[in-house]
Amino acid sequence: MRPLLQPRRSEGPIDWAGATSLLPDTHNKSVRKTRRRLALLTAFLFLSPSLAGLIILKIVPIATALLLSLTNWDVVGSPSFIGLRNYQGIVTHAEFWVSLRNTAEIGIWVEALNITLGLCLALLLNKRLRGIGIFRAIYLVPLVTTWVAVALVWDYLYSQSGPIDDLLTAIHLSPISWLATPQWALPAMVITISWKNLAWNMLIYLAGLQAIPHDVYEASSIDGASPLRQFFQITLPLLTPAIFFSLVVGIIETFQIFDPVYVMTRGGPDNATRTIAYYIYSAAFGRLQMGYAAALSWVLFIIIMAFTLMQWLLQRRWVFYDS
Amino acid sequence: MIVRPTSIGRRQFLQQSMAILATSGSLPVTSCSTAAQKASSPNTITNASGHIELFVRSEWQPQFTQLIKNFQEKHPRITVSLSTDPFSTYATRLLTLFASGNPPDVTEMVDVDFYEFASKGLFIDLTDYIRQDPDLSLDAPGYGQFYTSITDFFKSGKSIFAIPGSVNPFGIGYNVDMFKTAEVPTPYEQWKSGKWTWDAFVHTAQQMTRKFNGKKVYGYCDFANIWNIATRIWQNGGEILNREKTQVLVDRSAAYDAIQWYFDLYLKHKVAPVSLRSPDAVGMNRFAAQEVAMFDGNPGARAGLKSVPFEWGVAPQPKQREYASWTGGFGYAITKASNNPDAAWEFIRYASSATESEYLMRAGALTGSANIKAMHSSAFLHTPPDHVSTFLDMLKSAQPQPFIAQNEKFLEIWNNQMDLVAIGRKSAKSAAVTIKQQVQPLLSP
Repeated sequence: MRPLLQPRRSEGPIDWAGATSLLPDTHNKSVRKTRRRLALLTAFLFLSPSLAGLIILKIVPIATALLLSLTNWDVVGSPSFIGLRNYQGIVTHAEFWVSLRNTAEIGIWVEALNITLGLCLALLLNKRLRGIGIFRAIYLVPLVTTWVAVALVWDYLYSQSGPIDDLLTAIHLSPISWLATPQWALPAMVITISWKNLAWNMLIYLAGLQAIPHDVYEASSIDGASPLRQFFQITLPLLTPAIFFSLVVGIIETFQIFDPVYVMTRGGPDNATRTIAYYIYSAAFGRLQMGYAAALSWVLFIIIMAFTLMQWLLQRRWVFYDS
Repeated sequence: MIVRPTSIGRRQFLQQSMAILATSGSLPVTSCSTAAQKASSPNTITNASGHIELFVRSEWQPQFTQLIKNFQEKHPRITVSLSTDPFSTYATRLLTLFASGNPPDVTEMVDVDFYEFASKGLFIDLTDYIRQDPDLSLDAPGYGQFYTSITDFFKSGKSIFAIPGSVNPFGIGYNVDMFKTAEVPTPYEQWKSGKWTWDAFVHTAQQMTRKFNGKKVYGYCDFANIWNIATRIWQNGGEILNREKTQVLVDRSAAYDAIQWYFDLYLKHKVAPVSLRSPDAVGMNRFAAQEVAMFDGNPGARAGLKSVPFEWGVAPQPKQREYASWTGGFGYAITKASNNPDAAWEFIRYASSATESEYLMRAGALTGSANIKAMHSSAFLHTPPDHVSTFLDMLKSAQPQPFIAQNEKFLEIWNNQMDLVAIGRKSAKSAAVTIKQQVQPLLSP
């Protein structure tokens, strides 16, 4: 005989509410209610540390930023309510559009590079070779290195006495002022960001590749499919959920890119690498326009949300789920 | 008799090494503090007592801890606590302290941030304290103790918001060994003979752009910060802003010609290895690596060039119409929220006195003091560099660059335009017109 308070076994999570249905008829509804409340309270108590963190560290600052965005505040004085004027200011400021364009350009190039190269790397590292684990670990190093360290190293690599220009000189090409000229600073930034984040894409794709059942390849081989056809007809379609996931997260991260810009260029030369996140920082802590910076943060949130929703809607057209 | 080296164990060796390191590390501070205590520091002038909080950059924590100890020995009725934050985040941290309603009593205020803070009315006017101070004279230039240019910088209208602590004048640092090898007269020799002009500077830089020991060396390099550029504008008789900071004057030929001349060192004369706004154009780094023969040398470079394997010297900046140089520095300010301004003033007059300034220089906190007497002492006048006293000559014509209340915005506009001039994308004249258009609205009250 099953004990009274043991929850019914199910495939999903423990069904505490269902457990009360096992009670004998003598127990009335109020007992069932009490037990349900007790179960809820227990769950809430377990969740409360996380909820407290979420509320104090996320919800309250986000709500405060929303209120702050409706004010003019220079940190030291008292905030004064100015309605939606900060939001009106954003669309009329050329710097915002420059920052948005730069961020979009960085996003497009970084994602294009990371998806293509990440996929190539994942295909290479998916091979069963001796010592492949070592190569996988090497490619993961940039991912676990801090942004400041990465930016400082790339800052040196791009310097005119640095190895990249030495290499260009060795092959009889003119050295490039990578971070001093507007036309080269953005590509230099793209390369740096891509190098750092490539491993993350590679890791996601590698996991995706290893989840593809081997018998699908075997069946297609028996049917005479070439490796190229297998890649386009099997591998790529079955990897689209992983690509979709990496694209969504990658674009969110790119819109928030700040560290390499701060360390390497401070948004220069001539605003060529000023991203939205750096623009928010300079408005808040440089010009002390906290209200304006808060409004910019909300605009950034809306942009990211819009992009994510758009990708979510478009996924139906190109993402294949094996189910 | 054969003397054998004493054999010691690894642990013993490490312990002894640590002891030697610890002793040698503490020596400069302790020896300086003793020297400071022996010399006469200013006496208490008020009946101030109680507690004050001092806020300085964390890089100076050991030196100011000792200075506070010295102060408290002399002023037992005043206690001082020290708060610090790294220089890179100092201004932001100070702002948040003001925002939280808990600012320190006394704060170090760097020139670049001063006007932004002062314009918000966060500091008390020190005029009355200076008037009543027996060691200072309100009517005397530099209140009778400090360099005038830096005392004037910390004024706003008729109010005085900070007592200067340091100066850092720019000259031309040069590699003596390279000049000897090239048999080219050094900048100092040319200055002494009265021939140290812009043309002479370009000619010298061209002569020094050559191979040394099989390695290409350039005549000059430094990153073109606003202060490097302002120095050249003043040398040509120009200004960035008028004295009242109500008008942008950079669109006048004296200013934009100087800017163009400066960036042409790379663009036209090719005496610099990289564009002067390139992030890797930092003069001291390239000078230390013996990649350039000259840079904008200042007392602050001494620490970075402490162990270079060559002799270096310093000469004044060359002149076009007149000699001019830049100096930055920090000041000590008392916040309006201070509950104990009298005690805070006692601390400021103590810290900025000649003896304590000398101590701060010897202990490595200050590279140059705003106190004239301290600058004429051996705490500052020692080699390297050769001809260190020329820094004092430069201070006669040195000034900080102008700052405005919306300084960050001003610098963004300025830097963007300078980026374009530096790579030859825009002429200095055209950039100056843009700066005028965009900065002028920021100057209106």
